Amino acid sequence: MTALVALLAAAPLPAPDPLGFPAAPVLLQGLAYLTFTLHLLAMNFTVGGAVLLLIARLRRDEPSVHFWATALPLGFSYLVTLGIPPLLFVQVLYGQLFYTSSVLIGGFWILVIPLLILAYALLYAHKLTHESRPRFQTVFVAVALLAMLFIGFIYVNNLTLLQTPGRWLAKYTAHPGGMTLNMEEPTHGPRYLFFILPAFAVAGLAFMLRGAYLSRWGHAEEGQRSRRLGFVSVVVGAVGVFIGAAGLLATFPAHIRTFVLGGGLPTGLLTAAVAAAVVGLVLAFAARKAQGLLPIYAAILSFAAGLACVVVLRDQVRGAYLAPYFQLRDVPVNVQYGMLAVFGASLVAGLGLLIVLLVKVARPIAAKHVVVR
Amino acid sequence: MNYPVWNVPILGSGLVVAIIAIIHILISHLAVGGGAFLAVAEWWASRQADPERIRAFLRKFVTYFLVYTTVFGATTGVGIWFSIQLANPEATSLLIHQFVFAWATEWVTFIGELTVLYFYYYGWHTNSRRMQLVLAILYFVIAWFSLFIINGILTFMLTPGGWTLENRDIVAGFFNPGYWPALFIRTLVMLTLAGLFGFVVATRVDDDLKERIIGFAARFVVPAALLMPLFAAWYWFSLPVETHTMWHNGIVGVAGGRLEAITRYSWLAAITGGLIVIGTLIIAWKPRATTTTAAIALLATAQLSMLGGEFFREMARKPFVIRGVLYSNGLWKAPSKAPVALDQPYFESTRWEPDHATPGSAAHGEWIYRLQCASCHTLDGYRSLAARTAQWTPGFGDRFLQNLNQQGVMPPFQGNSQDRAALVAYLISLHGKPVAAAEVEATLAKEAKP
Amino acid sequence: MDERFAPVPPEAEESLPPPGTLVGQGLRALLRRYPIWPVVAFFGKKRVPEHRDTGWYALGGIAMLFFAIQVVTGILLMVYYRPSQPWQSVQRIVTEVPYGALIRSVHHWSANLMALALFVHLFSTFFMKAYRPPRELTWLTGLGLFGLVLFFSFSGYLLPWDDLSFFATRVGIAEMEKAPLLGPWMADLLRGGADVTVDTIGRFYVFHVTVLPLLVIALLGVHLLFIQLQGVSEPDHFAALPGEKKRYRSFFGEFLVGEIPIWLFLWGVVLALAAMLPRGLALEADVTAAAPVGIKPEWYFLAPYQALKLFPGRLELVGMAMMGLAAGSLLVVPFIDRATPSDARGRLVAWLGAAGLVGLIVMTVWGLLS
Repeated sequence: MTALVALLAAAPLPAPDPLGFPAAPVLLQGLAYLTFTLHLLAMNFTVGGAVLLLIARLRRDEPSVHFWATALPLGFSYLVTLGIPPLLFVQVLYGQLFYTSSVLIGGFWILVIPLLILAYALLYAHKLTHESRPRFQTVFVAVALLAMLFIGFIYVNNLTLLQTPGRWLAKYTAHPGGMTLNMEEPTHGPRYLFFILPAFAVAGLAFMLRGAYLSRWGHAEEGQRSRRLGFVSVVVGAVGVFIGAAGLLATFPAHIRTFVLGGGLPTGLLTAAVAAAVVGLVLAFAARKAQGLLPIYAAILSFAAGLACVVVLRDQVRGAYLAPYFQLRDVPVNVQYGMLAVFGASLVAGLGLLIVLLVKVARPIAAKHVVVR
Repeated sequence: MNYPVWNVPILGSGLVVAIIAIIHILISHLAVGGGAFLAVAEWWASRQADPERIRAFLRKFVTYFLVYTTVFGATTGVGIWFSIQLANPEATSLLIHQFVFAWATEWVTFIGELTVLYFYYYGWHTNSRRMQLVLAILYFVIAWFSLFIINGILTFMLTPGGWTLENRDIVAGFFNPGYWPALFIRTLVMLTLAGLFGFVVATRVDDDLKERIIGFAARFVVPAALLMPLFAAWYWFSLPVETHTMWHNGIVGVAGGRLEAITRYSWLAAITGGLIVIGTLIIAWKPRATTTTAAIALLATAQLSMLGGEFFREMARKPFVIRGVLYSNGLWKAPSKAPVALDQPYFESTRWEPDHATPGSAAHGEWIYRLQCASCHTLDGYRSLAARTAQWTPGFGDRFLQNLNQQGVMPPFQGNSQDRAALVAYLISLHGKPVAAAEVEATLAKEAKP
Repeated sequence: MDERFAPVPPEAEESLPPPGTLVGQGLRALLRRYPIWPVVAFFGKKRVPEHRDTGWYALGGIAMLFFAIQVVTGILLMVYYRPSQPWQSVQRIVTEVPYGALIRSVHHWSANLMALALFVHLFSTFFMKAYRPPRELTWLTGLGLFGLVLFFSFSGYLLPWDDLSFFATRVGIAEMEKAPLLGPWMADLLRGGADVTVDTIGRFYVFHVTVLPLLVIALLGVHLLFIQLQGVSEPDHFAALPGEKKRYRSFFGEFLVGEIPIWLFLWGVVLALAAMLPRGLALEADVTAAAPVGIKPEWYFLAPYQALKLFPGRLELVGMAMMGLAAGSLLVVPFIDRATPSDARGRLVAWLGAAGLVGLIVMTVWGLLS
């Protein structure tokens, strides 16, 4: 008990919200996992695509430049939009922790917004002028990339601070304006790499998908080249992920490492993730030369499944860090059946609309924009 | 008092929210109104003798529109999220835990309207004209639904209606007394902004087309010009009586010879609203004389009007962030209803003060300021406390804090007499000569002896 | 035709609305009684050249907008202001009179924006070289107006008689007093004695509400008449174009109407500033107290004030001479730079002007920050 008191003295944890959870935590977590995985895919697509665009510019690879120039603003807008639900659900589940860690690094946290606007504006500026005025295009994309990388870095600071309440009071006393980060966190570097390096894999897979469609629509040579280049990026990404994962495991506190590697759900998730990554790599390798769309879609699904496993594992690890301070099961649940129904109905309607539009409208658009120049 | 307070010098955390929100409001309202504009314009173009020329203009419109609304609209919307959770985590937590599924539904409308807009834009040359019209209408309907949802949460903060923390009645809270007038007002604003944006884009084409587009766009301002006074009156009557009192009292100057903020901003919103109507009449009268600068000036006037309206709404809610439930500085009303609860030592209800800020220490007053006042007042910037306490004596300051809630726009002071003395000492020290809390207490004790 | 009425000229018939409309009938009735069509036609001829710098032509009108706001709000303030009880009457305006504080804040902000607009107008006409012959007198009357407006601001600033206005005025006049020969005499004349007292208010008030308005309106009328008579000045890059490439816009029908939305926006800006940053009232001036630390004049007087600080002690005279020279050079520039199109001397004048502008901005910012 005194240990807890001592713990709380250094970590003035706010109480969970008096309203409690509006649904069973497992449902909220499930929604969070799903939408966060999609957000990470969009984020990795955009960040990786920006790097591949810069490489394509250096190699004067015009078709690739044109593809990424059109794709990046789209990727960015879905990155932002898909980032909203995870933000919502992390506030419901861990709000009292998340708000606190956000305020503690508030000066940097709010910087995310102007950085977002800057990156987005630059990607659009690039798309709209890269043919007519090519002089500053590389700078536009490079600065946008740096902004995105910095945003990711700020996020890693926030989310690691969230799960280490022991540092909170000292940080607030020293920086009430929030102009500080969480640099004393040992897992920082590897964690950041672990989030960012998959960008090569996702962007590479997307590029391979482009190649598959091009081959299917009669542009065999460009399609082949696209798949080849995409695969190189996939391999780089996969290697990076393994390096990041190894680094993360090495820098975890001992009890967390035991938690991850000591069996049960965490180890199962880790194993599944590794397996999915390996399977994905193999499928991607097959998709390099194969006809048809099945291999590449299978590869994408495999990587996405692996990513989803990692997302779940990440939340389990967070729970392990927070175990001395807070458990989700301690929060009362006041189920909002009506609102759940409304949300569910809107999801169904939205998905339905998306499918209808994809079927009726998407193909000619994609054919026009993905075509070789 | 659960959370640490984000101390932002000069601006204050609240102003950070305001700046981001006011930009977002202009763009988001324009985004929805623009959907109506596109849908009606597609239909109108098909009835003209030169539909392709009109459509070329629409292509220009939607390019500006797409870039402007996505780059600045979606990001400032996220910006509001970021800034409110920093400026008022307690309130944000309450709203989230009550309304997360409403927000999640709104998110479905966001991703829906974005996707539909992309299909509309990228399918410009491949979609049939009929499909384009369908997509434009879909976009507007979906986008308007996002307003339908957020309006509930926003108006809830000012008029929670039958909702209480105990009954958690989300329907009563969502469809609260202020909901419908606000919904109509915002819809009118959206249509107006669409017309004004149409003016701006019209100035980029040549004269005879410019004249026709301006004539078309001007009609979008008509609904607001005719109906806004009606809905504004309805909205006014939905406001709590305390707000009315505050406004009426604010016609004459209060502290320091300034009108009450709520009164100032209401006149800003109303007068600039009228200016927009006059400007539209001028532009519609002489369309060929309209320059891009003039059209942008009119859109900027709309921004000023919205600034007035939004500040009015925020001021109307003071001292609460959720009216009747939660004060702006994180104090819950319910526990504070019993005066004795407020009279406890302040540091017993918060845990964010550092070790060295013990009662009696030099930092005591400073940390009461940081945790209880800094959420709304900076020291020498926005709502400067140094300026407001320039004439304070210990006796005046102590009495002021004891009757803080009587101001109308202030929450009650939380703390005992030692806390008051410490805060008074800190505030008086801001004006040059440092004063210790002990001195203040001594002065008060002397003055108390008759 | 009834001999009591003058005929409506045929050129007028073309331009007026049809005789069937109410407006058309009314205007024709007016013209038959007051044969002013030549005057109307004269004004209607005014046109504005269309080129990349056309926007700058709007600044004079913008300054006039702010002046109009000053006149209206000033008259409203005059209803309650009492020069014999300066601070008390302003206190009453801002705490008892409905909307008094708002009107006063509008008056304050419009004054500042008017000064800003005039600075921009001065420099834009300078760099477009609108002062060259035959427009020397337009330039000189403009400078005269600028001086009058600065005096407007200076005189108005004292009227609330609070700490801020009293000490700022005292400091300002003290600086003026340092000028050789005329300085002490002018300072005494303005102050009504050796010190700033309630008598000073009397003088400043008379200037602010009677003398200066009459002078400004008269001089403004002359300034505008000169422009009407000579036409709007054309910058070199426009004048060099061949005849058929020169495009003009009619002033009243197109340019002015196009400006109106901008005026409406600026009116909104004044209101927004008055709403967000209302003007407060400090304590009543305590003439026996020492000046508050860091008291300085308003921003439009800061540049010379700060610049003079660079010349301490007896070097002050040097500083003042240099500033007098700078001001004087503005007066004589139409007689020095006369060539159209511009020549080497003209380019030198432009560079000196740019240096002057930079110096003005630097000194003002320095003054604000120190």
